[in-house]
Amino acid sequence: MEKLRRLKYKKIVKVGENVKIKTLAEHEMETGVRRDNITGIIYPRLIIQSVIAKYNGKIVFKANWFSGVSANPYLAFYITAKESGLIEIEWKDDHATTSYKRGYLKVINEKGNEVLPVKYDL
Amino acid sequence: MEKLKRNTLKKLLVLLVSCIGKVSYSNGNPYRDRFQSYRQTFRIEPNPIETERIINNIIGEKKITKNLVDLQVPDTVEDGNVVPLTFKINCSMKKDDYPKKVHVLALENPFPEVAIYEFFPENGNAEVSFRCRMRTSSFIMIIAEMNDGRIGKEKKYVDVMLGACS
Repeated sequence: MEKLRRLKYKKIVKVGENVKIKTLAEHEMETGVRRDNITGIIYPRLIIQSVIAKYNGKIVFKANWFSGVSANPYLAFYITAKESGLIEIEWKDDHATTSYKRGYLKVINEKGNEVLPVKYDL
Repeated sequence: MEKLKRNTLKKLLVLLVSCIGKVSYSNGNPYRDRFQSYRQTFRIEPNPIETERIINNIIGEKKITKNLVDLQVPDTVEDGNVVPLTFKINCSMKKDDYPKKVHVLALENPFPEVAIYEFFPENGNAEVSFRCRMRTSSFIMIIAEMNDGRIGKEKKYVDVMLGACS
């Protein structure tokens, strides 16, 4: 079954605004320290090691996590809006399995027109 | 008769040396590296010397500037599995004034390093919120490494009612 990954932010913003980006991943962050009471077997460690955020293909934010982060990790950070484009988020596991989530951010200037990353004249 | 005496003495000496060697080489304290290797999957008690070493590794001999880090943690937490934590670094996020790395440490956890965050001048506000685990009521420390070599430190005590087994 596919695990839940969530990405939330304000969809339409003005130029120069700080956008709060909230992410959530469904994951049992197994610390590798827990032991079964009856059998005495130690559950092996399995955590999300790193989270990388990209804005228009450029790395904007990085997080390296260890076993101290809670289960179903929530993370919120900020980005300044310059031009409209893609926001991509990548979660990387202990087994190097990755999962992605992405969304489109629309940026508007003072006149109400969209600011595109590629500039052209007609 | 003399030979027997000599042999027994030799055996005693060997025993003594082996005992001393065992004490010095394996004191029941496994070596823990900072990036917790995958093999170490057994219960480990918190080690204050180790946490001090990690903090010294980060700070080194740099000067600490005051009022750089704002830390928001509740004073008392019911569940140690979910401790909400937000921190903010007071700086203008220009190209020469932004935090390179921010370390989050929960002292008295078996693995005191909780998370490392890397910032870039693109995020206009150096504020992050997430949730962490704590084993017992202890200090939470945040160390910010700025781009120009400054260092900010903030410490706060959190009372945990039911500790997590991390």
